[in-house]
Amino acid sequence: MTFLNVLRTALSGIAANKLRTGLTMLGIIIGVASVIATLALGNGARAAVENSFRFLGSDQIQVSGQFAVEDGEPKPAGKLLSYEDGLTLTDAAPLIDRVEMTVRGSGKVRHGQTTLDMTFTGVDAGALTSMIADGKVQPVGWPAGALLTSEAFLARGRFFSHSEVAAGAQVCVLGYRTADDLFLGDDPIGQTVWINRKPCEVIGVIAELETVDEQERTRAKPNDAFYLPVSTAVQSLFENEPWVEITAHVTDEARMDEAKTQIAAHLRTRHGIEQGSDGKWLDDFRLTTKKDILGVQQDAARTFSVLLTALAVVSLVVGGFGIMNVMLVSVTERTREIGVRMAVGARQQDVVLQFLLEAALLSLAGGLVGILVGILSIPLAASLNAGLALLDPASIPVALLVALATGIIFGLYPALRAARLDPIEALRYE
Amino acid sequence: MNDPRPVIETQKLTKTYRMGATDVFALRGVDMRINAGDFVALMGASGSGKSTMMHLLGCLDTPTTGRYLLEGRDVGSLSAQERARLRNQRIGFVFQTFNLLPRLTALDNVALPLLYRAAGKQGNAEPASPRKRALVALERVGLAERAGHRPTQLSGGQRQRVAIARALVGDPALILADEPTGNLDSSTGGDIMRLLAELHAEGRTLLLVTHDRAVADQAEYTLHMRDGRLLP
Repeated sequence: MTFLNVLRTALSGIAANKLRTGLTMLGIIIGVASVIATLALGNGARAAVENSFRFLGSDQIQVSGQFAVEDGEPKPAGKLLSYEDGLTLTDAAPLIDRVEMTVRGSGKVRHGQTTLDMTFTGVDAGALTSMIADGKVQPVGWPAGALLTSEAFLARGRFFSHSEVAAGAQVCVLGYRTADDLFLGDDPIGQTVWINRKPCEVIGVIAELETVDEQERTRAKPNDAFYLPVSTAVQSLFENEPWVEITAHVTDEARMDEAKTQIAAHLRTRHGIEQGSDGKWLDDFRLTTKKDILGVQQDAARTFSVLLTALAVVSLVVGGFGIMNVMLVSVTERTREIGVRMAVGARQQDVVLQFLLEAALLSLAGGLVGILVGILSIPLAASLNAGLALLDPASIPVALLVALATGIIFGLYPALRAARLDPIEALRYE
Repeated sequence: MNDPRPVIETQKLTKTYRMGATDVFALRGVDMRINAGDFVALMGASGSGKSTMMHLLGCLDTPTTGRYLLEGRDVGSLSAQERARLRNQRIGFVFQTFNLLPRLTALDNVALPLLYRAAGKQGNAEPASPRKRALVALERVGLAERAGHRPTQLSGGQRQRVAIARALVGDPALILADEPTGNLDSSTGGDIMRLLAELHAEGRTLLLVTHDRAVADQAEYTLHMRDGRLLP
């Protein structure tokens, strides 16, 4: 029997019972749709993480403090990272060739009759470049895709020089709205503002910024910033000890782990950290590299995938048993037909092929509908997952193969049963 | 046909079934010879072994002991697959209940045996397409204009004609008809018997299994079976 004839026979077998066929396919449809949707969720989460950690270069180690939450307030677990921790790092850790530091602290700033509550950010001379590399904000109305420059980020004046940062100069750069609020339209360049009764000269104003992500625009306030050299900020301006974040640049990317060990040893000495009873260091800091973040994400994605695969397997097995059931019913109903086919010369393998193909077509049809349902459900899945779902094109052939395999595996037993019928008994079957 | 050539030759054919704890001796040594071009009726009461005999002759079953030669070939030594091929190419079945596939048209029902032939494997010159040959067979039984009808749209007599066309289409050595008129009224049954007689006149070999003497009388000669043996 030619393949085409077997196909025609199988198709007419399926078409004979449309309702039963549809119900049988339901399990496969749900299984395949969940395969598509869940792969899309994993794919979306992966893309989002890679996107949001773009700014952390592969030669960088982020050093941050450990915090414990007490009474709803974050409290440092142990000593805070200090400016000195960062300054001494390059000497103590030979694999670190330079560090960038950021501190945040709040206080009051005054100019003339105006006093504002402000969050101060102490930064390095390279902060503007980092902001551009971060890619989260851009000057208002900046054409999409156009290359950003440090100049484009400045409305007036200039940013800190390296010598100003090194010396702890009493200078500051204002965010666009901060400048507006303090100076009410006057030119702030060269003017003096007072922070905790210490004078500070305004040397620049940042351009009016907006977040690149339009959905973020109502929340983020990039224009309320107040920048100081990090050295100035930690030395004299804050009443409370500020939180320092250190970004260390490693000379050799291949020796990241070694560099981490050097940093950890340095900080443990400075903070007087001891080993716990289990031999683990009771660190009050955390070291993070891009590889760590991707690794954590990959672990999470793997766990996610395992869970979702389990879900898909369960629905496909249920669907497979549905197919097996409907094929067994079909074999029983068509016992006489099988007898007739055998009498006119169908061999066992012809009968196996006929019923196997019928099961495969059934599951394949379910697979196609499932793919469609899966793709249509991606927006729904995205809305349940913070907008993170992206169709993975590779999931379509995978889903089809899975559906086909399900049909063949679960169709095998009914097909073999049909082929093993005794033609004499089958012809007598009422 | 001056020199009669045997289509069927059986020697001491026996068939024993196991039914629970007891053995049922369906055939107890049958020697039968049917020559090419014969039109033979096989008669016997139910339980006489005539159905078992038909199943063996039709290669649907294998004998317990003894030999069955179909056109000189020992069927007992063949695999299930080879027997399927013999059924397909050398035997045409006509059943009491017609046994047409309800979802196929008359034409597709007739073409069915041809679809199970290994296409082009013999490397012969391309034979006429299955549907063309099926149409020729339908013409032979006078139903060409019903080719597109499904079995449910045909009368009992017409269904049996379609079944006969299906038996004919593969040009078999032997047509086995099991009570072909059993489900038909006497007038329609008479038409079917006339058609079988015509086929015999054209040189076909037919074995008619029946318990109806009036039907058996229309064959050339009659063999009688009782208790698993052929009566002399």
